[in-house]
Amino acid sequence: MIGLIDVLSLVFIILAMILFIIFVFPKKDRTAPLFKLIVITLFVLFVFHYVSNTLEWIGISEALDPYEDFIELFEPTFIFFLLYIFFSYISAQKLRDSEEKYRLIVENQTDLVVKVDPDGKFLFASRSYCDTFGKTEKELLGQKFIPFIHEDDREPTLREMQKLEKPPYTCYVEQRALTANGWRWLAWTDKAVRDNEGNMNFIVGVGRDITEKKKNEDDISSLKAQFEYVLTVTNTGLDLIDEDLNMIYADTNWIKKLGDPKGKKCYEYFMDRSQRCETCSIPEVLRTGETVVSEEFLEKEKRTVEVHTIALKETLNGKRMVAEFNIDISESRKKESELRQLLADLEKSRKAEFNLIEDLKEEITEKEKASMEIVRLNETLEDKVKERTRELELSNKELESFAYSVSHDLRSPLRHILGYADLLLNECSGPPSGSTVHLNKIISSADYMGQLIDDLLEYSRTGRAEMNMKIVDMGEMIKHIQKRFEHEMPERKIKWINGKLPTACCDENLMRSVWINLIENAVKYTSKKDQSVIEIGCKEKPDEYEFFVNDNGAGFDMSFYPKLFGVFHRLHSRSEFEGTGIGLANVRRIIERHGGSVRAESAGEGKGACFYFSIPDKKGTD
Amino acid sequence: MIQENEIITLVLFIALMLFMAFNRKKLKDFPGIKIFMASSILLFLSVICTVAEGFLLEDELNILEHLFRSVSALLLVFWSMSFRSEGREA
Repeated sequence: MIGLIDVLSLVFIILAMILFIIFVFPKKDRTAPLFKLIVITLFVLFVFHYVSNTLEWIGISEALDPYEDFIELFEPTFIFFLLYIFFSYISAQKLRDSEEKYRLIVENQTDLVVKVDPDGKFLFASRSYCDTFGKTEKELLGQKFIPFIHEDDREPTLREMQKLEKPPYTCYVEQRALTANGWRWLAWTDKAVRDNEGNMNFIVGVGRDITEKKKNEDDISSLKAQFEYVLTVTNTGLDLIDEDLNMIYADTNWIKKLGDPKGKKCYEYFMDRSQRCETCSIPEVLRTGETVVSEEFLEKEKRTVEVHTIALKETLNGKRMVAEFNIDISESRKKESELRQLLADLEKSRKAEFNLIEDLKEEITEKEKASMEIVRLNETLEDKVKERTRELELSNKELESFAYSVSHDLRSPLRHILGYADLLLNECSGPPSGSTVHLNKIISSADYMGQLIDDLLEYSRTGRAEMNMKIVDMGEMIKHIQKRFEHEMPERKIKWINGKLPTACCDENLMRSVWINLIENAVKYTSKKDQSVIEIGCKEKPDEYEFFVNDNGAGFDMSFYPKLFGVFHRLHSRSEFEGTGIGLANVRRIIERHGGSVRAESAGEGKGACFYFSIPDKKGTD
Repeated sequence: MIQENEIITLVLFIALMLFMAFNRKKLKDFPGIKIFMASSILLFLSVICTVAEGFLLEDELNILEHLFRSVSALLLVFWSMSFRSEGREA
């Protein structure tokens, strides 16, 4: 019975050993080799034990005698091995638990954890690192980390990592890396792990995404720059001072002007003093917490500033602080002074102006009075002028009427004188005697006097005749007049030069009289020339026509020009040239009645003369 | 008759049993621990029987001793078979 049980046990244990070899040996595990060895040893001991029992049962127990001592060791050895297995297992379990715990920490933290060899090749990369870079750990292992870094940051990174070769074998690097989300800023704290001989085994790096922090830093830098720009533009200084009056901060404007404030007291820095200012408001501001505004003169810079001292809630190294805003008011003070001066000047000027206005008022009042007087006088003057004009016109008319009457009345006795003189001359027939000579002179003088009276009557009529204005062709009129002269004086050699004459608005009869007078003068005063040259033309001027008659005759001395157009004024004697001296006076009167003017030019006696008359161009208006 | 090596074996087994009892939580991941512990307990019982048969019921306890060892060996067969389905090893 017992033997059968032992045989069964032997079979079981051999079967168990075979199954163990089949199922366990193919599996690879770092703890497996020792475990497998021990278990197999136990099985072998079991086999020996049951073989011994079986042989004993069969009755050939002496066959195992050489191995008796070995078999005796079975159970204690078995237990020892079991204990060893269990201890080993528990230790391994602890290690696994520890590894698991650390893996759990590493795998689940947001910081990036890597392990690289001294050449920079990945030995380990945490899940967060893999996720960040969009790679698997398998893809990373054996690869170098440098290609992930921005080109500009590679050299600084490698330079910083050289610190890993010297104590304390750590370094801190900020770099841009190409992650799955593009370029990101990463901050790495690296630690070199060394062996007993001091050689670097590997580097453990813990990284963190600081892109947002960097952005914030950039924003803060930008804000700081802008703030300082505003301070610069507004000529405002900013500084921080602690309760012991130590300078904590001064903006760049202060630093540019006064240098580095580090380690200085505020009165040393700003005032160049060795003791605090008597008027220092900082203790009061810190005590009350209220802002104090004061005005200070900076000795160093020779300028005045308005200081706003504000207590800060923050402390530095346990010390309270104040912020000072220094607004430069030198310019405004200067401007104020200028303004005050200007106001004073203005006041002075205003007073002077007031006086001036008063004077001016008086002057204006006087002038107004004078002006009113002038207006009044003007009104009376106008009336007086009108009255005088009327009186003058009346007087002229009376005078003309008188001249006409005289001329007209003189003709009657003159005709009697001429008639009786002719009768006397007829009665004195026979040879010429002294009486006949005297009678001839009387007749000649009476004729001349008659001519004078006729001319005077003509002159008088010219002034009184009613104007009959119409468009007259001056060219045609001139041709008729020239023909008349050619007919009357066929013996004269006259060269007519006729320019183009326009039509003009005038009284035809009076204008004909003008032309006859002027042409007659030209013919008369060229009578002593072998070849008379008479040029007639017109110069068109704006709003008027200026006609002229030019001749190569006797001419005149321009010094006698004022008398030229006077009644009965003559520049030559009757013996030289006939005439009464009323023709040009007539011309002037007619032209003036047309609203025009006359003038004459001569280069001197014997050098010809040119007579001009101008009349307005009224063709468009009539 | 009591043999010295049997007493030593018993003491060692008692120590083994106590160790397994105190560390049963830590050993819970040991492959096929329940079968292995059952096998060990049976082996421990066989050692007790071995010692006890020197005092009383020699034949009965001897049979029990061999029977326990046999069942223990059978359980080791099952323990080895459990590695077939085990995902992990010691």
